[in-house]
Amino acid sequence: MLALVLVALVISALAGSPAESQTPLDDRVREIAAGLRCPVCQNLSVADSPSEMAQQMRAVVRERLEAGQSRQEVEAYFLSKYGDWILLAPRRRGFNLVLWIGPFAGAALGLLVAAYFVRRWAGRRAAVRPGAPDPALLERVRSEAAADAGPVPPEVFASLPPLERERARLYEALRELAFDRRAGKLSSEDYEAMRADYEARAAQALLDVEAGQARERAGDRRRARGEEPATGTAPVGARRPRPLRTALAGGFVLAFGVAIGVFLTQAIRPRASSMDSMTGDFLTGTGPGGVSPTLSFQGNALERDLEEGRAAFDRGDFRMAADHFKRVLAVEADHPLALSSLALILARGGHAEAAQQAVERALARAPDHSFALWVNGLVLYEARRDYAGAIRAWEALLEQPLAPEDARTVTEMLADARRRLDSGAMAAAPSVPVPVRSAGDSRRVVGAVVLGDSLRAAGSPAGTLFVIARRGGGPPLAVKRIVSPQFPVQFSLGPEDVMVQGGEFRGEVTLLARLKRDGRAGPASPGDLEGVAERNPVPVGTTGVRITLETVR
Amino acid sequence: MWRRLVLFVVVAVPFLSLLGYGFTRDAKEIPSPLIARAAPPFTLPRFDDGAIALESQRGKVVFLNFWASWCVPCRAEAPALERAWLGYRDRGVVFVGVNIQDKDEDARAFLREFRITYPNVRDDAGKAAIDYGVWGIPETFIIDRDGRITYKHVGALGRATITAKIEEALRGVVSASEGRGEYGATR
Amino acid sequence: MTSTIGYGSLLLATLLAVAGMIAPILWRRTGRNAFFASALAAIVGQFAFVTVAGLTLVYALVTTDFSIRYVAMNTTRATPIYYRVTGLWGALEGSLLLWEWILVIFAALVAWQYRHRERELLPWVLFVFSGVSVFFLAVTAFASNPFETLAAVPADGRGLNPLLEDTNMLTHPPLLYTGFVGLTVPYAFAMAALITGKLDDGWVVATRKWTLTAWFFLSMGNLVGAWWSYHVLGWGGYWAWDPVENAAFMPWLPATAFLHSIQIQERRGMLKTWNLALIMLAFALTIFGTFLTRSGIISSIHAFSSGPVGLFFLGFLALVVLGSGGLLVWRAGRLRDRIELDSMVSRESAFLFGNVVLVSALFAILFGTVFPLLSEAVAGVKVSVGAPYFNGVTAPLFLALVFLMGVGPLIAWRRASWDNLRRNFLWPAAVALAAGAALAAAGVRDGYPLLALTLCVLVVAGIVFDTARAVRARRGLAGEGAWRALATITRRNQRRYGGFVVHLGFVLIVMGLAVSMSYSIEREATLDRGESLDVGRYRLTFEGLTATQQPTHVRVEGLFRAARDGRDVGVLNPALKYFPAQQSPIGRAVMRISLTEDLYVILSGFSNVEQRQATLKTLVRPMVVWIWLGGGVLTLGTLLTVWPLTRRAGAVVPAAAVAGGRMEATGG
Repeated sequence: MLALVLVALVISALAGSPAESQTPLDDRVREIAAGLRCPVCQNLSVADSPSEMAQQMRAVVRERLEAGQSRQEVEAYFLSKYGDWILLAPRRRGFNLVLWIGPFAGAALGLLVAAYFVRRWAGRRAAVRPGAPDPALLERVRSEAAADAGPVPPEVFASLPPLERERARLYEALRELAFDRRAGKLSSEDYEAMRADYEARAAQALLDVEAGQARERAGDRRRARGEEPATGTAPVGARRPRPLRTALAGGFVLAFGVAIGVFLTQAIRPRASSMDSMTGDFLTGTGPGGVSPTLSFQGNALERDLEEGRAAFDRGDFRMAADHFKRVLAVEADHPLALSSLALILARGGHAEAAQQAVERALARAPDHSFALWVNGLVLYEARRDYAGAIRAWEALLEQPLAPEDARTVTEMLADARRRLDSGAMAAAPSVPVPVRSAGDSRRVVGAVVLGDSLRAAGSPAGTLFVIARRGGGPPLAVKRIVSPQFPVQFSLGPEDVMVQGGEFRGEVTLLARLKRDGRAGPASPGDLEGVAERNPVPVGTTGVRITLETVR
Repeated sequence: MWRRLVLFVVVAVPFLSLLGYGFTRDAKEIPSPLIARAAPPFTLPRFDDGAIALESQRGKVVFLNFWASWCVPCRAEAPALERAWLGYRDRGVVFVGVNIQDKDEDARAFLREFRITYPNVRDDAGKAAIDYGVWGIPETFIIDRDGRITYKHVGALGRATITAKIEEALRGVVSASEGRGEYGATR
Repeated sequence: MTSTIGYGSLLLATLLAVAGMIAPILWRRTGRNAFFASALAAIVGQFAFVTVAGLTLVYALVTTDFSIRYVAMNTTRATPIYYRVTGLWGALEGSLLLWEWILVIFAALVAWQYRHRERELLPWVLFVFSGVSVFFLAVTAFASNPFETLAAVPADGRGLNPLLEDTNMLTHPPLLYTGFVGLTVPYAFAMAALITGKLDDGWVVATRKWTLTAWFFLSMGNLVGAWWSYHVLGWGGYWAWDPVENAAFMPWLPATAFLHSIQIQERRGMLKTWNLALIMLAFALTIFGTFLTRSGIISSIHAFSSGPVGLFFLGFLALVVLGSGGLLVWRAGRLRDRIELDSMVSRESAFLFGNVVLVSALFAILFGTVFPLLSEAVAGVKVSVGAPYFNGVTAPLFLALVFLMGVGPLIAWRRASWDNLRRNFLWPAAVALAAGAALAAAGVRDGYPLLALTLCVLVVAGIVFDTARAVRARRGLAGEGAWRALATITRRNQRRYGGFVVHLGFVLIVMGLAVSMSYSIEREATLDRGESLDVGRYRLTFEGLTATQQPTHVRVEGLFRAARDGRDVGVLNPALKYFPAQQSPIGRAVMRISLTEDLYVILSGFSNVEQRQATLKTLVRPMVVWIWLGGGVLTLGTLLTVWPLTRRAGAVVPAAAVAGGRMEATGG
């Protein structure tokens, strides 16, 4: 029999369970680890998780068990480090008992309620029994049931009116009953009792059906005589004009059409940045800038946004900070503090142009704003190498009342800027790079990186430039990082840029320049620019090396 | 009918409000039970020679930062950390970086790239990380002079937070809440 | 251009959906059939426009049109074509569009099938369809637009998460979504019945096949998900009780309960309110499921990136729950249940108790999924609810379910006398007990698996006995051969025998689950070259590591020679794949599958390739294949139930046909 085959298969499957080649320690480690939650791939246990952290945690469990700790002690250890969260099933105490008891209580309650209702219904049913029907009717029922050619197909069944459906259902039940009797599933007494019951009800159903049909025919006759209106058809006649409705419908269609037009044009407007979205980045922005899920409707949102923006900036969450500042600007267009903070974020992100514009707007609005002056100087100094401009901005800043530490910082930066100005770094780089053909330092490689012709038209791209020197085909020997380069940009690679500790910067190197849009070191991503030196390999000590950025990844 | 309606509403509305409440919570964060408790001791090998034991730093404020070279927010905060170190090293504050889940060469390259001068140690087996309940990266703990953890920050740090929290630790004040910045998951 | 077409179609579809909601209201107010026709037209129009939008997005994906942000985020030039297509449902925006697409396909099919019938209910059915459609279209069009364009067209896209580049991605989400959306059909009919007050059985009978189809897709979707988890994700398990997994499983429970209790409603006219509540619960749970996945309120590895979409889903969920629940409570007074239950020991009460068990399991899983939030809100403590809780709570409930599955089909309707019980249960119970004893003797001593297996044997034995007796009766009646008799009774009682096969499939799944969860062996070790690890009957010897460069990743394989009971059975090569964009490698586990057990090998790590040391984790899981086989049997059973085998006989029972007096009339 099928059952025995199944059992045999199961036994053979389980026969494989061996006498233990598994140490009890492994078992215990696994048991405890199966109750801990992996902090990395959440929702897997430490036992199941393939992550490195889980492996380390398993090792910790094993160590502690070997040192003689009990399961409770090991779990207590993890609880003291991660809190209740680390256990995959909450401890059975306090509020958590609600979780453990709830389902069982619910199930038990449900079963009891169900049993109660069943009892009640069964009791009520016993009290109501149809009287013995007319024998002739009974004969009709029996013959009709006998003539039943089989179960009614569901589609036909569904299309029957309710009374006939009931009749069909009862005939079906009688048929099943007879079959079950044949199959030996019912004893004679049971069969007789139930058959009588069903036949009585079928008789009643027959009567109901006939009564219903009689009513239908009467209704039809009345309708044919015009006494009752036909169902479902509207009076045919002149339609009254409904100006109000027409106007409303027209207005609705118009409004919707306009809405569609507006949304459509918005949708096909290309996004300028990933934070910009169709309905504006306030409510439904779908970019990674996203929106804070906390809703708050308190007043003075401006102050709060400023505060939160500064807080986010200090934390290092620049996206969040930019969001907050943008929100401030949405309310007050030229808020100097928000503009300058935004400018700083933009400058750090490599968008020197936009930063410049923002801070100039801020200064236009409030020429004496100290933070704006500070940021102005920073932007000029860092992003645009305009040391003279930075010096001007910071000198103006020093005339404002400042806190002593801030004044000190500004003075230091001023001194630095003056130094650089004096050392001859040109503020506005020439359009054609002048190779410095002086007797250079024999331990350095000096040159310039320019944009290729095809790329020059697009203007100065944003990002971070890496000049990479390799020896042969190996890993980078030395890398120079230049933030927000203004092309053409000079570079000077020397021993201080060597990557490998103790490596020497000499011999022949292959030079590669790569502009990374995301500003991070690493392999090129789509959109990055690359170029190699004109005459690779270059011996260390060469000056006037020229690297042209030509390829777009 | 009204009774049933009330019963239904009494069940359905709290459930829906609970779901709404869920929006105000960050499902992924794990609050730390270690704040205001004694910092777990460790002794770990340095990248230069030797080792650092936490007890030996008792009497100074310890700025403990867990990082890895493959972690992007760690790169974002590294310059700020180094600058803060330079500012505070003469004020009885020591910065200790703990490198986890990383390869030796990559970690060293990271230290070189950002010219980190404060001491860094290696936690190969991850025991110290687990001891501190680390689940994100980078994570920073600030430990006051008596060896008590005053602040935990998950994610990248900015200069103002560093300054503020170190000042608090120098005064022995325990922070009221944990901090959050951009972070990644450990491996 | 592409995005204009796509987005424009979405907007037009939204307009039509709104119109589709207004038309039935106007039809009700004025009685004019023109509005009925416009409701139909609105549905067809929605279908047309959403199909255009869907095809447009697929076109954009296949041609890697990177000017569209969604395409740039989810494909690269190197992605094979079939994975570009699956990008349609790989991220939030596209998955909502897919849901909407399947919804309008169902709506159009329902409208087509019932356009001449159910005249009273159909307009409201279409109203509900349009209502749900309005929500999904509005969210897609205004909050998570898949057709957003980029100003700077990138040269190459970002690509799908490598974990999702798997053949199961072609089947799992569409199957699951079809199951979810399919439940909208009975829900719409139920709401229509409530709105119109036509609360007799019409709506139940009309939608039975739809419900069964939706239930089937839901079951398959969940099984394929488990298969994927086991065969591809490589952690050795098939179900992690992750909140999103639970969310996909939860609608299945009331759907199953519904399928059974509508039989009671059809036969006895009872449980009308209960059935309405069940189907509303099932539909609400599908919305709850998508809400969980997209809101980020509960952490899960499945979750899409959270955005404002979650808030809209919560609003819609509230509308569905309060709206349908309120409507039900308001109209419940009109439902007159007939009292047709005779005894506590009857098939009706078995069905009823089965319903209670299923709904209790649902409640347990729902409560466990939501409890972390509740604990945080009430007690301020963040807890986790994971596998130990769910397994512990659902195991006894499912055992009770198996027991009822064994008892239910055999026990008599209405009232089972002692004689009846004896006749029907003596042999199956005896066989089950004998099997249980045999298993205990063979080493199965733990409570749960022993009990589970015994009950499964009870179910199988019961089915076999019952069918055998029916075949014998039929043969006695009509003199047919055994197989012919079986075919005839199956044809005449499709639901019953189809249901038997489905129960058999379910039993296979339960057996696979019980044994593989109780008797799996797991070992983990770090091996040098030449070292071995013993697990169960197997011995794995580490032979070496190889590293190869693939087009998109670096692949490090570990070679392990497996021997079973001393005999060599081949080399297994689990791998770790290092993708440049991913922080951690993606593992690829390898299995040796047989009917009795699976040998599962995972490469956890290695210490660089030259050092020749590997950490591996290996499991021996018995009887896992039975779960997948059970799924196959379940499919057969469902097909058997819905396949149109009976000829479309004309009218019901003409009394004139008595003249034929065919003998087989009283046969099965």
